[in-house]
Amino acid sequence: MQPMLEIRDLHVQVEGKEILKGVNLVLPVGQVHAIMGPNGSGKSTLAAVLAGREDYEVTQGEILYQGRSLLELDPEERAREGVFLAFQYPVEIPGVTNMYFLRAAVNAIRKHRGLPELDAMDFLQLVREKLRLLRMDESLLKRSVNEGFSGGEKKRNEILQMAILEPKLCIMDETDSGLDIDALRVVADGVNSLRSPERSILVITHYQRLLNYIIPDQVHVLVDGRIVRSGPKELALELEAKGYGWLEQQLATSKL
Amino acid sequence: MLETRGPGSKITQQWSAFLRGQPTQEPRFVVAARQAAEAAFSELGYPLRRNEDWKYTNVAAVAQTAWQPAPPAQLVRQFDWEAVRVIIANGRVLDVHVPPASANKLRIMNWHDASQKHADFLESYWNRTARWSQHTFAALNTMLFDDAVIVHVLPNQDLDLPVHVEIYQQANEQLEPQAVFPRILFVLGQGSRASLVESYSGGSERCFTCGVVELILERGAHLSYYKVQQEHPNSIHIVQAYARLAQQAELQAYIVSLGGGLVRNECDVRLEGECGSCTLNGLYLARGKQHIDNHTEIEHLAPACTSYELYKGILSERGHGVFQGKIYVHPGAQKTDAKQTNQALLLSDDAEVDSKPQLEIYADDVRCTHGATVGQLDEQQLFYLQTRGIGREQARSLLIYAFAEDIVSRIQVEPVRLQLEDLLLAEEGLPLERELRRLSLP
Repeated sequence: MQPMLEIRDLHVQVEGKEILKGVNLVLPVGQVHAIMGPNGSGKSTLAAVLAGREDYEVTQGEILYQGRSLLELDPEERAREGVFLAFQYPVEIPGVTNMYFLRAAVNAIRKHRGLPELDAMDFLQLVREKLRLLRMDESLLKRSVNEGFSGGEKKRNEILQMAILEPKLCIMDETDSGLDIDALRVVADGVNSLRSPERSILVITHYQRLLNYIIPDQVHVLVDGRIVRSGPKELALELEAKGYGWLEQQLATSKL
Repeated sequence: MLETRGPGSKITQQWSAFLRGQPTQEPRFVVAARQAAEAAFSELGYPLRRNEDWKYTNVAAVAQTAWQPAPPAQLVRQFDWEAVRVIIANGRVLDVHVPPASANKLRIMNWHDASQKHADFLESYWNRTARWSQHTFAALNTMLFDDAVIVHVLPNQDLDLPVHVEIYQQANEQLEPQAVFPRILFVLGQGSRASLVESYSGGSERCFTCGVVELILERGAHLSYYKVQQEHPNSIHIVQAYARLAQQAELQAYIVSLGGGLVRNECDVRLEGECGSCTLNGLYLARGKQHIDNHTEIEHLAPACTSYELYKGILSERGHGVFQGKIYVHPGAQKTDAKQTNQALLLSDDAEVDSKPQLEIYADDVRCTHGATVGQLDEQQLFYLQTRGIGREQARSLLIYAFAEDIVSRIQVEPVRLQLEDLLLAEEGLPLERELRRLSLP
């Protein structure tokens, strides 16, 4: 079966500096993979490139999403095709209510899929159901997008969008950062409820902690712009115990 | 073409048709005021661009046109939301409607009633705040207006319904250039609360609205003042608002300019008593060749007053925005807290904005800040919206709307806020929010 996502020899530069130096990755349909790595290894760059950030220059390689090249698509086209990035730092948009924003997004995606736009009542019903799932207060709908939200509220708002937009490929960029243990549980429960045989999830994280709640099928370790090790979920525990230094050292020795 | 630019010339000749049609039998202090205003107008002349206060705005179009008085207009009812409503068409008060619930809280008069029956009240308040001796167009208005609305909110009243003064121009059939001189005096008695909505509409490329608004806030009074200007995109609109605040009075003003070809909003506030506070929120949209000039002067005359200004402009095509804000802190106005912010969104290469803050501070224990930003849309916000499936064009529209909504969302008079929101959404080609609003959310 065709994988959900296939990254082949991906090289990416930011402001002339090479950050990703040949990433290879295959994410099958229905699986959850984790990408772990130390600070500066290129994790967030990978997430941004997948979502279509313009200031990241792909110099080599390709990204196939359901067998189709993702790099040719604008960010909004990727989203409409089912790619979703949960931001590490969700952007605040004062002046646009969460409600208005969510409906604009849902309807943009529905339109692309040839579905009729949701009217206000149907939309509210859908949102209410998802809010309950994430234990979010309805009052968040009236507030401006992410403005004045706590760290936990922002991350939950990302998962809320994910639940509403029903993407096929979810990329979660450091979703655990800045969350206390209770908020982490709620977010993880939300993500777990979205696991399905048709959906693939890429969890990008520095710490193993999140992976106690979102159990991955596979773990990849990104060091200095390359995936240096892939393995089952136990690899995350090994990393937690030994630290990234262990792999970086191994890498240096093997280069000699 | 008339040549009446310089002071001292026969500048009043341009307005002789208006002088002939003035109300007769006015109280002596009014006659004196009109004469003084005429002398001031001749003396001041039209402001030239070497005048610092008019550096960016050229009023040659006013000076060089043979203006005629506007003919009587027909009564048109444009709004139906509940309010104390006054309709001024082509400069004359055509209708006054006071719902019974508000009737014992305020008095409303047209110029004839006020000058004939309430001359003492008028003499105490009228024309005392307007700076007609320094401002050409305030002098012109004082010299020529032929009707006015005078509102007196009695002391210690909480006016639940807003007072809505609708001002519109109907162009004459020959499309001759016509000028009108609306005039408002709003006196808010001690300890009272009220909202005043002033809306301007109508007109044509040959219409000139030259207005004066005086707002008097007595001790502890609280006024929310909304000016919404949606005149013809080529009309000339020069309206000068002057406010005076006694001790602990509070003014919240919203100056929204959507229409007009050549627009000058003057907003001068005198904080005369301790612990007064004023907030000026401005929003303007200039496109086509619209020129929108906001000029503010805030005078801190007493200690411990605050003034806060936030002006936001959206400029596209060849739109030109001007913001000039003066803050003057008099000696003795210690503990003054003044903040002025001017933000402009430039959406085309030909759009332009000129911003000039001016701080004059003669007290030592004060906090005064000012800041101006001119920019384009935020790339991170655009990207965020795009990653949610929203197309780049719609994302741009949404962010332009959001920039304006920052001001509009603060408007407390709901029909005004909703009308503006719908208008701004429609302007940006965005779906209206109407049906979302009907949902009951906590």
